[in-house]
Amino acid sequence: MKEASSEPSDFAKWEVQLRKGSLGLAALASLWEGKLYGLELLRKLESVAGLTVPEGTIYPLLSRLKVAGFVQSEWVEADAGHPRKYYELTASGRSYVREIANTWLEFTAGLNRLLAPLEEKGHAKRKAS
Amino acid sequence: MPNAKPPEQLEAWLKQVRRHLRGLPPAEISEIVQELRSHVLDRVAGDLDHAGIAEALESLGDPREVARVNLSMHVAARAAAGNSPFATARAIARLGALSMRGLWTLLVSLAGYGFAAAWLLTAIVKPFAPDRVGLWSLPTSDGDLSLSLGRHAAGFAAHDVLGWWVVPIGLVVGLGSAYLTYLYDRYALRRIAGRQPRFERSPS
Repeated sequence: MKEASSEPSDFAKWEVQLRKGSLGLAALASLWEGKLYGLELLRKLESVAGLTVPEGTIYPLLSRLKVAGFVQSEWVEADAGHPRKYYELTASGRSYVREIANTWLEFTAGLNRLLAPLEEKGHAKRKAS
Repeated sequence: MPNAKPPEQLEAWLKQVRRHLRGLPPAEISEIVQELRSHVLDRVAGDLDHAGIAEALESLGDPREVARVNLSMHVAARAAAGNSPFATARAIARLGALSMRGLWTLLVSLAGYGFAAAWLLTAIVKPFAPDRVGLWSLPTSDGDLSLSLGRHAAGFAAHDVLGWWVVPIGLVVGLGSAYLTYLYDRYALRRIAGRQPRFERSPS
C-alpha cells in the first residue's frame, strides 16, 4: 500500500521534469519550417504535439531563446490591423535544434525498443478491459 | 474591424503588467506589453467584446504573475549573457524580490560576500592597527573558546590566533570566497534564466 501511494507523486515529478526539459526543444522545433508569432507557435505545439503551454509563459521562453542567440524576432505589420512579433531560428539555433533533435531521436529510438514489450502488454490489457 | 481601439479592459490589464515591470529599460517594457497586446488581439481575432477579451486575459493569467515571470527571465538572462560582476550583483539583488529561488540566491550571495569582506577588511586594516585587528580567540563564560574576526576592543582578554599571517590568509580567503560567490551567482542566474514553464498534454 505504501509503495502504491508514493508512485503517483514520483511519476508526476518525473513527468513534470520531462516536459519542462523538452519544452525548449519543442519551441525551437516548431520554428524549423518557418517564422511564427507567439500564438501561432502555441497553437502548433498544441495541434501537432498535443502540448499546452500556459500562455503567459511562452514569451519569457522565447525571449530567453533570443538572448541565447537561437532565435531572432521582428515586428511585422499584419492584415489583422496590429503588428505581430515573428520569431525565426538563427543559424546557430538551426544547428543547435538539429543537434538536440538527433540526440533526442537516438535516445528515444533505443528507449522505445526497450519499452516495446510494455506497450504491447498495455494494449493487450486495454483490449481485455 | 481591424483598426478598432483595443478596449479599456485590455489596456487596464496591460497597465498593471507595465507597472510590475518597473525597473526594466522602457524599450523592453514597451516590447513586452506590445507583444501581450498583440497576443490578445490575435486570440480574439478582432472580436473585441468584453467576454472574449476577458477569456483571453484569463488565459494569460494574473498580470502581476505575467510581469514577474517576464521580469525574472529578462533580469537573469541579460545578466547571464554578460560577465560584469556589478550587473550580476544588481540582478541578484533584483531577483531576491521576485521569487523564492531568487531570495535564496540573494541570501547565499550576501553571506558569501559578507564572509569575503570580513577577511579582506581584516587583512587590509591589520597593518594600521595590529593590536586591534585580527582573528581572535576569546574565552567564553562557560569555558569554551570562540573565534572572532575583525576589530576587537582594547583591554579585552583575547589571543591573536594568526598574527601577521592574517594579512596573506585574509587576502587569499577573502578574494577566493568572493570569486566563489560570484561563480555561484552566475550559476544561479543561468538556472533562473533557463527555468522552463510547465506545459501539459492537451486533452485528446
